[in-house]
Amino acid sequence: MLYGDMSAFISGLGSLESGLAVLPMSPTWCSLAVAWVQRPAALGRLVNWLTDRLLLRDSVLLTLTKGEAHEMRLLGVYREQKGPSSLQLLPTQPNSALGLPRLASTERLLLDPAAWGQFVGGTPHPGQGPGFLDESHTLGEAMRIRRVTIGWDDDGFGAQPFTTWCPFSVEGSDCVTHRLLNLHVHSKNLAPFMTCGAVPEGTVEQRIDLLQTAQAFFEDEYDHDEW
Amino acid sequence: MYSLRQAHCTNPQSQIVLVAEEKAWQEFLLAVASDDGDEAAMESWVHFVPLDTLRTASSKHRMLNSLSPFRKRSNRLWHTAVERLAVSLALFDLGVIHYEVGAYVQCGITAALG
Repeated sequence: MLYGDMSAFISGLGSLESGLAVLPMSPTWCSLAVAWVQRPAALGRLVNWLTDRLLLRDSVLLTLTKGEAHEMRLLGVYREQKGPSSLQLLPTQPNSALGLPRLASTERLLLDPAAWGQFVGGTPHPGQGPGFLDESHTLGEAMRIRRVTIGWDDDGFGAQPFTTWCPFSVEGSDCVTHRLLNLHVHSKNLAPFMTCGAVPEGTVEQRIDLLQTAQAFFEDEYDHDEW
Repeated sequence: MYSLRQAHCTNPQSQIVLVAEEKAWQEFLLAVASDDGDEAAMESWVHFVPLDTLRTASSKHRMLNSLSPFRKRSNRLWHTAVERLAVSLALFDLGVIHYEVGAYVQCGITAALG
């Protein structure tokens, strides 16, 4: 689900050395939830590389990906083999190498590789409802240790998600807030996340309920003394 | 359909492209009509591309789709996002989407109905 003008966002990032950028999920995984293709050749190179890898036998592919034979790990392998400048990473956290674009407002912007959408809406899998964190993801771990939280700036139509980042356990003025330009709603229960246009009835209440459920689950699940 | 509508609402200058089987597109329009009766309005801004067009026009798309994970691998971690990558390349080649303009590309009707 998109919550802003992607073209303006991309303009704010400037030129890409690689011609192609995707979302980082962890040090070894990337997501295609949002991709920025600046040059046709870069996309062609990646698709050709993926096609070649898919021709491999399962056992070879498992070895290549160290047991994680899926496209997220393969994108990580592509970066490892070709170098980080071959496939750049769009900003999902404040320390992004590409910097953080702004829209008309002064707020800086981030993208969701799946972590926030999974946290607020859960996933389709049993036992992974609102409040779910995948701790193998960088953002999931940052959330678990309470360096970052998510919220909505408005409970009505036009609402937009935001994240607040705090350096380690410091609260207050040292924390910084960024708008999220998308939510990767893994559960595919999308209606509550609709914020403009023909908004289905009751979505505002559903959205508030989901966020509160996620936060309550998080409070119960994670030990406050850990950080 | 919510993701398509949200994308159109927040990015009115961008192309919203749905790639699927022709029959599934008709089913999608019926679902939209039964949801809010706004079938005609949605049809006016969703650019539908039949999967057969890509199969015919793009050798890369044929190649990737004939391979894993779409045929034999069933690891649930494989995402259709990789299909969207191949589809996007084919759409660029066909001139349906353009590098200088943003595009929201959705593959398959199941995801589009959400």
